[in-house]
Amino acid sequence: MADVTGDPSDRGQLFLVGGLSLAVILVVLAVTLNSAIYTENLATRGSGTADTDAVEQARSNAVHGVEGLMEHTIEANPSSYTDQQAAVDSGVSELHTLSRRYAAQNGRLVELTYGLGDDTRGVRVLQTTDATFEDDDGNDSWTVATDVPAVRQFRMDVERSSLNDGVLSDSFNITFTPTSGPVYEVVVGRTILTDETTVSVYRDGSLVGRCSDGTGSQTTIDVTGATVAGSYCPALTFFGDLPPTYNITYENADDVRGTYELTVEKAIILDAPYGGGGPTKQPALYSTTVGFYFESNRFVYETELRVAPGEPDV
Amino acid sequence: MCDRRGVSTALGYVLNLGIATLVVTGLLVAGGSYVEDEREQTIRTELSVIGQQLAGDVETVDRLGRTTNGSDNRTVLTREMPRAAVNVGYTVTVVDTGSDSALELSTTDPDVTVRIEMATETDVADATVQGGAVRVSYDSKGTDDPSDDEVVVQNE
Repeated sequence: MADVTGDPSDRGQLFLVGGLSLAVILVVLAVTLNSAIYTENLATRGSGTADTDAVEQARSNAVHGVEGLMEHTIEANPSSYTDQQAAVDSGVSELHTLSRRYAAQNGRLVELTYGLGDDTRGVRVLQTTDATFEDDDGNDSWTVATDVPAVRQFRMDVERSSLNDGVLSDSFNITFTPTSGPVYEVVVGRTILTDETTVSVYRDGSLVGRCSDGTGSQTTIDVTGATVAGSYCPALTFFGDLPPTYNITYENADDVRGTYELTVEKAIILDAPYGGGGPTKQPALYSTTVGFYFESNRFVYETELRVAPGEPDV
Repeated sequence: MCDRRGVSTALGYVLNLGIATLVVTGLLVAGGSYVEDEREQTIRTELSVIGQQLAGDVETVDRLGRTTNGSDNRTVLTREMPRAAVNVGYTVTVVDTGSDSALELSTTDPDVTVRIEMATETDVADATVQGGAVRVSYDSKGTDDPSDDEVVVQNE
């Protein structure tokens, strides 16, 4: 039995042991709570969305940059595909240098690559002088392009006073006729009462929707971009329903005056109705594929970007 | 023994020591179980935080991976997860909940399991990873068919 009658300094050993054990428990508790604080800190750390925002931004910049490059190149080199390809090649190279420098400022790597031949060829039909939309022979009903898989940047600028205000079947219309599938008609007419340009879309003869514009004396209609005078026109978003390939024809082309352009994804279209006083056609790249590579300290993203300016969103 | 009290000294000491032992033991047991509870709760919270961050990464890879196309496409996200939660090693398992996938993070001692649901359009491949460096990548399997694609989670 312990010597409890002896030296007073020997007393309280049980409390000593108990106190020591309690101290150890409290230390373990402190370590646990430290982990809890660390967890809270971990939870507040950024989950890395900065990188994904950056890649989306870089990708969007690349697409817009190449779109602008293509539009400019086609305007500047209207006579040959090889000239356009060479210009796109050097343009993408420049874009690559600029993107790389900008991304490097934030510790990221962006690369754009273009291989000669990474594009599809098309034809651009345009009328730049203010005139009726007839062909070179003066026909008011003519086929603009046959069997095209796709069309982009189809824009027209029409004078309201030239449009037909009577029966719709006498108004200017653009018909998209696929080999099999629904036939779409875009009818451009005028309402005398309100002095507005009206754009009506018909699917197999029944009305899908209508948009109108009463501003100014001219109306800009972007068929592939689905806008009328800059405002969104949902009726024009029918390209998803139009199966390739289709013909594009004009009817009552004498009931409209203005300018227009469109680019079709077809390398060769017939010569006959173009040239001279009417519309002209020129080679134009339809789409380009650009390699896109993005890297940051924890994220790698690589893809091919297909760029076709003015293509309808489907 | 020179003692004038009615109770024997030995009994007094036994009672004192007995009560002291009981008190100290009681304190230790209570303290111990309190710390255990705290530990379990902290582990649960930490696993939940780690799981949410990893789930976010998987969803991001799914979203961005679906925008890639071409033969050389890649979407890879790496993350340094903590190696242990409150000094306890853990494993992360991808489980299939029928329509979606979920992450299950678990430790063995104490036995804690946390489940984090994920919303992805692409299938997430079944996998088990340890804490540490983890890589989440989008595997398009060389085909153009998006229903073949998978998001793969693996240790670096």
